[in-house]
Amino acid sequence: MKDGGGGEAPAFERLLREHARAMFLLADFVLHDRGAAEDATQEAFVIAWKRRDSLKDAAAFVPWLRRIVLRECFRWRRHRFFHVFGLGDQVVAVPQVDGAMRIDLARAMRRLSPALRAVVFLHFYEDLTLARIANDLEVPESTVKTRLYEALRRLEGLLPGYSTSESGDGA
Amino acid sequence: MSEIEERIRRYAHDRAGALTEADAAALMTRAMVRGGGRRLAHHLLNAVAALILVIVVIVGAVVLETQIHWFRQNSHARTARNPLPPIPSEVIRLDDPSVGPGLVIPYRLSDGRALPSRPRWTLPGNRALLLASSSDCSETRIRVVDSATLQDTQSTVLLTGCYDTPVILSTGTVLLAHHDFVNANLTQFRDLGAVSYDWSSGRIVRSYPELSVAFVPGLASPDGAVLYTLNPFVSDTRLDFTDLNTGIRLAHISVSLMQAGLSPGGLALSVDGRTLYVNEGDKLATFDARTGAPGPSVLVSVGAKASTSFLPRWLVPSLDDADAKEGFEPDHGISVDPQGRWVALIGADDVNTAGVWIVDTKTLSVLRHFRAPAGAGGLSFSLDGHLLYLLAGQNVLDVIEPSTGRLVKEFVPIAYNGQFLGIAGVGRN
Repeated sequence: MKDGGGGEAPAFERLLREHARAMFLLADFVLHDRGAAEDATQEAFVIAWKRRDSLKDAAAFVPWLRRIVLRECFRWRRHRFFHVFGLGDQVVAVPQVDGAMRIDLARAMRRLSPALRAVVFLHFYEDLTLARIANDLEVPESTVKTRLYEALRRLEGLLPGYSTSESGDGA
Repeated sequence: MSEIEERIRRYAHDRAGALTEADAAALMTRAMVRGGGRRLAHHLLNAVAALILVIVVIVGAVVLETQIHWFRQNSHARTARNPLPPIPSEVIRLDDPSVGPGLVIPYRLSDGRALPSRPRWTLPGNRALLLASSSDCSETRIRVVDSATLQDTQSTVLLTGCYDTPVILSTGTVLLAHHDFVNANLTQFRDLGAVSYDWSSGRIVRSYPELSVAFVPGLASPDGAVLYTLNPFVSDTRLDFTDLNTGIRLAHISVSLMQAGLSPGGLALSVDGRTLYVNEGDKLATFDARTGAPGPSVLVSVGAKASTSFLPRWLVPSLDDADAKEGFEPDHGISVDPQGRWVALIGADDVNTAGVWIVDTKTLSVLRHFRAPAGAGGLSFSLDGHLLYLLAGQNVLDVIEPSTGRLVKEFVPIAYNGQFLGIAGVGRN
């Protein structure tokens, strides 16, 4: 990435710091494991730093970084064998102190695949439209739609007490 | 928005609230100070750890297998309270084809020595039969000699044609296979059946043109009235019962033989002479020795119970073949305890059947099974039936206690300049 003044590295670092929490949140939601999310995010930042020259347009920074974070999240999942055996980075689970509803939802969320959780997060937390998510993740919009539908269907099955119909009260 | 969508939204925000800007900033700082080499080191560490893990598993498996093997070898010796039985003063008659078909090598157990060759076919009165056919089958020289000195005890007899594979009958005659060649370059063999030869008078007393015992001698009943043959070299291989008084075939029975290696096979009679045992390689079949009526059979196969049965053969080290003497010869792949309690047989060279099987004749069930790591070349019970002699490979003789499976003694290697292919019987020292 060029900023025109020869100071591309500080500018890139500034951008990274600006979006660090958002990326950490994304990783945390996708992996549902804070320690793992720290690892994946940190690894993603290192990769992003090394590949910063490949980013031609600063406006595309967020989706570009988001893809790297997600890729690291999925990679971490594939290589968890070594983590299980204690051969990888230390993973520390953060105890959850929540109400019954949140515990139910957390359990249900863990039953979803990381790809489904990613779409759920981007849609319901980041408030991105399906088209925007598709654009950022470089997948067809129909795929995003299918994943979101699939996530809601599964959550409905896992949380029978909740309705997927419109409540009308906005609650 | 549905209720569940609203819950998800709230859940995501709650979860996000637990992660502060400071957490992210710390993460960012750690990432910025990390060198790229750490990832490589991380992968290298994982690869090395995986390699060490694999080596540990392999070494562990080898150690475990060795311990199991040792335990199996020694379990009987450690648990049995009775002392090992003494080695009897007996001589094992071992087959060495290089000394000729009419001779065997006696192996004396008392001092573990191979003695000078002795005649194979012994006759009453310490005499023995020696046969020598010319290579073109123009004549056969038949000698009756003193079994100790090999001096002729009567005049040599010359017969036209080839006569060999004798079966000594209790009637004072010898059954000889008769054959010759029909072409000058000696490539076309002609089976002429068998003859009954009176060795004391030196005359052929009867011919059996339909009885084929070429290459593979039969087994005679104790009274010499019936001959049992199982000849794989004829077109219609069956178990045949032939009445030697009339020459009539009494039974023509289909049997299945596992043609795997040379070890399995063989016929043997029970001590009372009423039951004929046939080693089919994967089972011990029984027949009424008079009528040929089939009796119960005993499967000698570990089958699905074998821990190694699913493995390819090359992975199982205990299945070495021994170059054994032709297994279809009576008594070479099977032996009956002289007291009639057990039948020992060599299983076919297959993962599930290889090794030595001892069958209890009363219950007709497998009493013991043990592998012969170097391959089983031949077996025979001792004269009192308390011990089993097993030729393991070509030059190892194991003495085994059949009732416990204990290895009483192992003669290894037998001091002899040659290779043994079977056990031709047991005699007094």
